[in-house]
Amino acid sequence: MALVIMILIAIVLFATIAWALIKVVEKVYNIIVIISASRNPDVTKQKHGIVYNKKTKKLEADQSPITPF
Amino acid sequence: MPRFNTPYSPLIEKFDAIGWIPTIKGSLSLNVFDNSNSLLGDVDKFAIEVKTYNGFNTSRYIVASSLFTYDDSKSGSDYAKTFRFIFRGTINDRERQNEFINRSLDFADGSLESTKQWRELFEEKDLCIGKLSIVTIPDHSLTEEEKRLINQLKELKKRKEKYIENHDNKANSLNVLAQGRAQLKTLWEDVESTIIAIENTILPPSAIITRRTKRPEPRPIYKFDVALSRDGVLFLKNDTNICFNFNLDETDIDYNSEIDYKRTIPIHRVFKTSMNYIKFLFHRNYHHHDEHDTFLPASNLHPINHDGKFDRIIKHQMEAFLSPIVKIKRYPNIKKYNLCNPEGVLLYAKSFLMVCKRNEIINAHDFDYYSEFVDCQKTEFDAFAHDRRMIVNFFLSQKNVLAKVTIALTILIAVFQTINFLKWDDILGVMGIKWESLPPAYAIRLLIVAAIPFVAIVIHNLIVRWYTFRGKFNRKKISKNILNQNSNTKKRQLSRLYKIRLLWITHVKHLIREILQAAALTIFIIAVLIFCRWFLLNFMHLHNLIKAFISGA
Repeated sequence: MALVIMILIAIVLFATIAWALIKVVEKVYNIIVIISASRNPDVTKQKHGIVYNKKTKKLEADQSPITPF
Repeated sequence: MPRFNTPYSPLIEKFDAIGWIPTIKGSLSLNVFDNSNSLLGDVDKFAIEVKTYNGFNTSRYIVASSLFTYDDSKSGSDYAKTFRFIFRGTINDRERQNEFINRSLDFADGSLESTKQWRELFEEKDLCIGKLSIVTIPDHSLTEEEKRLINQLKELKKRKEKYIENHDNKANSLNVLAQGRAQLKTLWEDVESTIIAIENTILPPSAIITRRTKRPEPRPIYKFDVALSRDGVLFLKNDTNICFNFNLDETDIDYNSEIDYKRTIPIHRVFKTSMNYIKFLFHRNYHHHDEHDTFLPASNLHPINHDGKFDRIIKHQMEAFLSPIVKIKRYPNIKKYNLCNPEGVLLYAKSFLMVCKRNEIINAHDFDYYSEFVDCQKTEFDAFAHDRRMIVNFFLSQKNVLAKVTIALTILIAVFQTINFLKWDDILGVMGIKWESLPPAYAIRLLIVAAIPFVAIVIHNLIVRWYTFRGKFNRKKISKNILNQNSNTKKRQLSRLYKIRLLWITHVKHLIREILQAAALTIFIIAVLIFCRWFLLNFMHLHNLIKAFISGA
């Protein structure tokens, strides 16, 4: 029983490290996207210009960079 | 001939609806420059005013535009319509006034007396005349004309800011300033031409029969003639193409269909939206927050009955002012006291009565009756709400940042004191654990450090949410601060702050958040690795501990 608990703790620890590593990679991707995103708030020059926010049911300026994660 | 005694008789004869834009001093401030922040709209908000001087004669040219998705709660929660609002108006421009008078007067009524009455109306009431166009947006792309309009508006805004800079800071010569004004006027006329081009979007003949055949059609444009006096009396006249001009009475309309979203909008709802648009252009809510606007239906729009009677309109309007106060009085919930400032609303009611009296819309008897009623309401509210307001004021005082910081620090110190007070050796001893058998202390410290960015992000989000809810980024609120008086220099500073804030919202905030989270996760991984190393090195010892704990239990 004690061995099972020890193995479970070990699995949790390694799974945590794996999860954290994946998250770090995602964050690095997001940082690259944000840095390379255009900083032009001009809606006429943006790719989509105006986006429809499904949550608020309102149109919003497409100003924030859309991060992959 | 007009049948009313009020100076507004010509307008009452020709217009469809009347409303009042609240103004305490009985004279609206028509300076709309820099007011785009409070404009009704979601994005692309512009509100620019251009002035020209000819001797003692000052003419004003106003243009405003925004994109707004209007949720019509009366037609169901899914019935959201997206409009581009475009308003263009002039004050004291003789050429456009004559054009307006000629358009309003029919051949039978084109007498000299009528023309004189119109002229007096323009001169006495400083009438703003204009046109509000409401273009429906079936998809989210911009047409070429709209792009041109936005670019022209941006150019006009930029030039206006430059003119203000020259006028206020550089104190340029009168000639340079006059040239600047002439340039602005030309730009405004260019904008007007583009708006007219958008308004005159040619509808194919099929559009006329679309209502019956239910075919898709080009997007409709709703147009309203607008006349707004300095004392806030607003007149609207429907000038929409007949094929889009119908009422909610028609029962064969499916309001939730995709086709309906593009075309079948009840015209009276568009009337109401128009009223709101003009209101937000010239009026700011000082006695309640913008989000509580629906709680105060004071800016009602009333259809004009051409029988010369305003009794019902005044009664309806007074009820709109006073019923929210009665509601507040009856609410047991303290939070509802934040909905509006009852004293302010009662002042608006009184101001409305005075405007009606001055323009001979209300008779002396009704004026006295309603005025006394407003006074009674105020006295009653004061007496009734005295105790409650004491409690409310106590809570309101907690909105002070200093008070909040003090409370947060107090809680933090209390938590630390409690942690220190606990006898950790005894607690761990009960669980059969000794301090020495715990992982290295620096691993725990690292875990705490890793948690700090996440806690910081949570606190930041809470602060932003609180600021957004309280409208702290609103210039109106900032200008109340003693350090931020309503001066032009401060306005420019606020403008810069606003730009920085935009950059913060759009890029910097996301970047910092991502970097902080990445750093925190890296520290977290290091801490867990240290823990893992310790775990593996002490595997057998821990195994024995757990075994002993289980067998002991």
